[in-house]
This record gives sequence, C-alpha cells and structure tokens, in this order.
Amino acid sequence: MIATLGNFSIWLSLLFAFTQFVSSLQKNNKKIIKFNTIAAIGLLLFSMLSFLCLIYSYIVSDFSVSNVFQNSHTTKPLIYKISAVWGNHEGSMLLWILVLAIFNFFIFKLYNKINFSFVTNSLKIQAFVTLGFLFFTLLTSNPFEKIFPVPENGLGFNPILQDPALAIHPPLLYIGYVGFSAAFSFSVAILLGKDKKLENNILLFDCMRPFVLAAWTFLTIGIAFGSIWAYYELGWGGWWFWDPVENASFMPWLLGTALVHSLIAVKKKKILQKWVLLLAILSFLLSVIGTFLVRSGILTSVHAFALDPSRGIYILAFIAIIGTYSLTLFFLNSKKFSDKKYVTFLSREGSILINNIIMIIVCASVFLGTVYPLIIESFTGNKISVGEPYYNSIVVPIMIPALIVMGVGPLLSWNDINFTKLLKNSFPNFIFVFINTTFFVWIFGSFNIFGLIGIILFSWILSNIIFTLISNYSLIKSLKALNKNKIPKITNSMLIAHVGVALLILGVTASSVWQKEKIIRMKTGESIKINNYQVVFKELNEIKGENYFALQGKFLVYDKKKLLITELNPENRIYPITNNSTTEAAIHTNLKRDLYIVLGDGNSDKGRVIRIYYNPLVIWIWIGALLIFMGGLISMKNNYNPSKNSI
Amino acid sequence: MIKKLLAFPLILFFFIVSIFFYLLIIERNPSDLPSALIDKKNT
Repeated sequence: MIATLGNFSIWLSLLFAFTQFVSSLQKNNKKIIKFNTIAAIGLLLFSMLSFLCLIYSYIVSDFSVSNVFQNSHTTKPLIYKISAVWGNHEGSMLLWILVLAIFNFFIFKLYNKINFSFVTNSLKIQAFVTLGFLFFTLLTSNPFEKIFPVPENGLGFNPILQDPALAIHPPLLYIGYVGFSAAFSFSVAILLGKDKKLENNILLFDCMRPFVLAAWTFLTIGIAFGSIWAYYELGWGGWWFWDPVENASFMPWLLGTALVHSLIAVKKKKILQKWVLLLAILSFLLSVIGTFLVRSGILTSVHAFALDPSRGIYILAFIAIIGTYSLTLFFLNSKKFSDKKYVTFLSREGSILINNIIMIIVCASVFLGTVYPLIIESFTGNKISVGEPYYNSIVVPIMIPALIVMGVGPLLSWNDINFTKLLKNSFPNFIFVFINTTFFVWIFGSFNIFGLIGIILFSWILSNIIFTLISNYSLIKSLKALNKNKIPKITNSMLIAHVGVALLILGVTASSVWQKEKIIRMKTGESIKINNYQVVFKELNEIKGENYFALQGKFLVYDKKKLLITELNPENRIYPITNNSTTEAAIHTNLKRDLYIVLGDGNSDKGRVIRIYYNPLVIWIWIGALLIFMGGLISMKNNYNPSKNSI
Repeated sequence: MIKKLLAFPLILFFFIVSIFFYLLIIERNPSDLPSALIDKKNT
C-alpha cells in the first residue's frame, strides 16, 4: 500500500514538473504565476512523500518492494535501514529528485516583478532537468518495483556502507551536485534573457549566488564525510585516493570554488559575467557526468555502486541534450556579456581571476586523469590506469600558486594597488610566516621540501586572515561610532572559510609528509615502537555484533614514560547475510596526531599482519572542512533574499 | 577569434560524449581496466 502510494507520488511529481515546464512556456503572466505556484509546491510535496514512503518501506522491512529486498535485512540496525534508502542506485535517484524539487522551490520563492521572466525561464529549465531525472527513475530505476512471491527476508546491505559517516555523506553530496542545477538553470535563463542593460543583468547574477554557495558548501562537507569514511573504513591510513568516484565530486567542487569567487567579482566590479555563465553550466554538467561515470559501469571504482550500461545510455543522452543546448546557447548569446574591462594583476579581482584560471587547470588535469584510460581504450584498445603519482605530481604543484594568491587576496583592494605599498603592508605577515614555519618544522624535527611549502602556505593564509581581522576590527570600531547598520557581515564568512582552508592545508601537509607506517607480522604478547609510542598486541578475541561476527584485537598503547595512553580494538568483521568481510581500523585521535591500527590476515602460529600508522594533525583536515562549511552557511544566509510577497 | 574560442567548450563536450557513447555500445568489461586502488584493496 505504502509502496503503491510512493510510486503514485513519483508519477504525480512528474505531472507537476511537466505542468511547471509547460506553464513556463506561456505568454500570459497571470497563468504562469498560478500554475507555477501549484507546480512548485506540488512537486516538492509529492517528491517528499515518495521519498518518505521509501524510507517507511525500509523501516518496516517491506520485502515486497524489490529495492528493499535487494538492500536490507530485518537484522540491520535502524540507522542503516534508513541510510540504505540512498545507499543504492534507485533510492539515491529518488533523493536526487527530492533535492531538485527543494532547489526548484527556493528558485520559485525568488519571484518578484523585476525578475519575473528570468525566474520563469529558470523554473522552465529546472523543470526540464527534473523531468529528465523523473523519467530516468521511472523508466530504468523505479525504487518501488514489486516482487512476487514476497521473500521472507532481504539480501542485506553492503557492509562497508554501514557506517555513520556514510549515512549522511550522500545526502550532503547530492545537495552539492543538485545545487549546481540551480546555477545551471539561472545561467541558461540569463543567456535566454533579452534585457541588454548591464545593471539589470547584474541583479540576475546576484540571484545565482546563494544557490552556488549552497551547492559548494554542501559539496565541501559531503566530500569531507566521504573522506572521513574512506580514512577509517578502507583501512589504508589515507583519506584521499584519487578514485574516479572521488574525482567525480572533486571536479565540480573545483569549478564551484571558481564560481563562488567569480560571482563576487561580478557583483563588485561588474566583470567576468561570461565566465560565470560558462562555469555555472560546466559545474552542473560535471556533476551529471560524475553521476554517469559512477552509475554507467564505464569505469571501475572501489565504490561505484551501480553498474548498468542501459542506464548509462539514458544518462548520456540526457547529458548530451542539456550540454548541447546550454553550450550552444552560450556560444550564440554570451557575446552580449563581454565587458571589455581589463583586470589589474595586483588587485582583488586580479587574484580572483588568477585563482579561477588555476582551478580550471586543476579541474582539467583531474578530468584528463579520470577519462584518459577511456580515451586510450577507445582509440587503441589498450587498457591503462592513471594512479596517485599522476595526480600528486600535477595537482599539488599547480595548487601552490593558487594558495599563495588566496592568502594575498584579502590584502588587496578592488582597484589597482601599489606593489611597494603591498610589500609594506605584508611585512608583518612575512615575520609571522617565518616564526610559525620555524616553529612547526622544529616540532616535526625533520626537514622536507613539500612539508616546508605546506607549512609556509598555511602560515601565509593564516597570517593574512589575522591581519585582515585586526584591520577589520579597527574599521568596525570606527563604523560603529558612525552607524551600526554599515558593519560588513560578508567578510566574516570569507575569513572563517579561509581559516578552514589554512587548517586543511596544515592537516593535509602534516599527514602526508610526516606520516609514519609500520607493517609487520605480530603474535599476541609482542610489541612494536612507532614514533614515541609502544604498541603491545595484548590479545585476540571473537565477538558478535548486531548483524556480524568479528575478530577483535586488543592493543595497548604506551607513551615514552610507559604510561598507558589508550586501548585500541581493530576488527575484522564477517557479515553472514551478505557474506562480506570488512576491516575496521581502530583510531586514537587527539589534536596532535592519530594512532591508527589495522588488523590483517594471519593465524596464531605465524602471527597476524598488523598495519600501524602515526598520522600527524589529521583532525585539522576535518576541522578545516567544518569551518569552510560554516563560512559557506553564513554566506548563504547573508546572500539569499527571497521576495517578501513572492508574487 | 573570440567567437571561435566560445565554440571550444562545445567541441570538447561533443568529443567526450562521443567517447563515452562508443564505450557504452561496444562489448567490453570495465573490470578489465587496471585500477591501482582496487589492486591495493586486494593486497
């Protein structure tokens, strides 16, 4: 019954999306408003209802629904019954549609008399994109498909996906991917617009900003959660592996970063409009291409969860339609957005432009690395793979100038700046960088050129934020004396996000450069030293979890004063329902380092393979990502201005 | 010249989509593609 209601709700969502698309083609403004109000609300309500129906089917273990049978089991904990809804292809498409409907509703709320035709065009494009995904779901991936006879129990859920971080990772990521659909719709709507007045067009670009910020912010935290999951679940001691699935989320993030900053330049200096239009289109196309790569079976990946070429053909056809339409429109209509203004190198807009170019180069390099095996295969038939050495040797050196520019950006004004004045202003920063870098190199006690560069970049960005804060504080103090309302809010979000980037660089640098690894065979009772810690393999026990059996190691960690620091219990789990095994790393975290132990194969006679990692400052990667997320949220709040009387 | 540059994303897009399409319609096994990460996982 509930499954039938869910299925019916998807069809109703399709009807409302179609209504919105057709009504947006009308010439009569009153009719458009009337139908679009019904359509936007109806689409949101029914896509939400269908999603809730699927969640309910999972909670009550309704195995008459094929999707529940394929991905759930009665013994599964409730949280994983719910997260299994979006942990499979069909359910995740339903979530994708729900997020599309939410963004559609927020676009609808922007309606006012000035932007009427622009919002109507945006809703038309958004409805078209939603229709594409609704048809895809109904024709190839219906999550409410029934099976008969009804099985007594389900097949279970992939154990490596049964994890708290992965329970929230996909929804966050989808908000990011789908958020770019709003930027895409706005971009196409601007290109379709007939108004040639620059001031009016700048207002339209302003509408795009909170949606891009939402997409980029949630994509950032979504990627971070995926990375946290990979860190402790895959058991390799690392947090980023340049897997195609990771690259699929990283590429739109890079373009999103460029887009977020370019929109500031559009607002402040009325430049880069054409560039923003292209970035908005490409960000969404890359999000959908990422989905295609993961779900079509065209590439192999450790966590590609749906491999079906027939679905691939559908998504590719959809990409071809929206890509051809939007890029042709860009080719034909973008000329009117040429600003013919020159950007000075030593200015804030100059720093934004340089960062944009670098982000594009990095994105192109990652894209090339991801699709290069496919290009080679289609032309020569040879099968090759592109691994970590390619990405590390290309991406890291290109990102270094971007981070230097990011650090100097807030120091620059929106106009031309005198180089001597800049140097003079930066003098305290150089002193801070020198002291901070010396301190960190002394702490780690070993010299490494990449480590040194990373710490300099971290110190450079941090110093600029500190000195910007000091000068902002003096500015605010003087503004407060004049008029309270003029206190700038937006720079705070930028500063928080940039502190996040600085901490992220610190964590990435320290955990990559100064990581220590020991892989040895150990018997119970034996011990090993890593950094200043003594790790003792105390015992090995068999334990039983809610839906798994496990071998659990007991490791005692002592510091150099022989004081017990912690007990770590890595596990090797076996899930009998799905007949899968997983490795659960045990990690002891503090602000300085992670101690990371993985229990490998072996037996009591020869001992077991134990991997122990000492990872310095890893936690700062996650704290940095969280700060970027918070900065993005604050900026979103400051930039979203729905019409009070929407129509 | 600028007009030609504006067509570049479109041309690149067609090139990429054509490759994807070709790989979808031919008989192939994607797991034949070597994957450094999957190899790492199996060791």
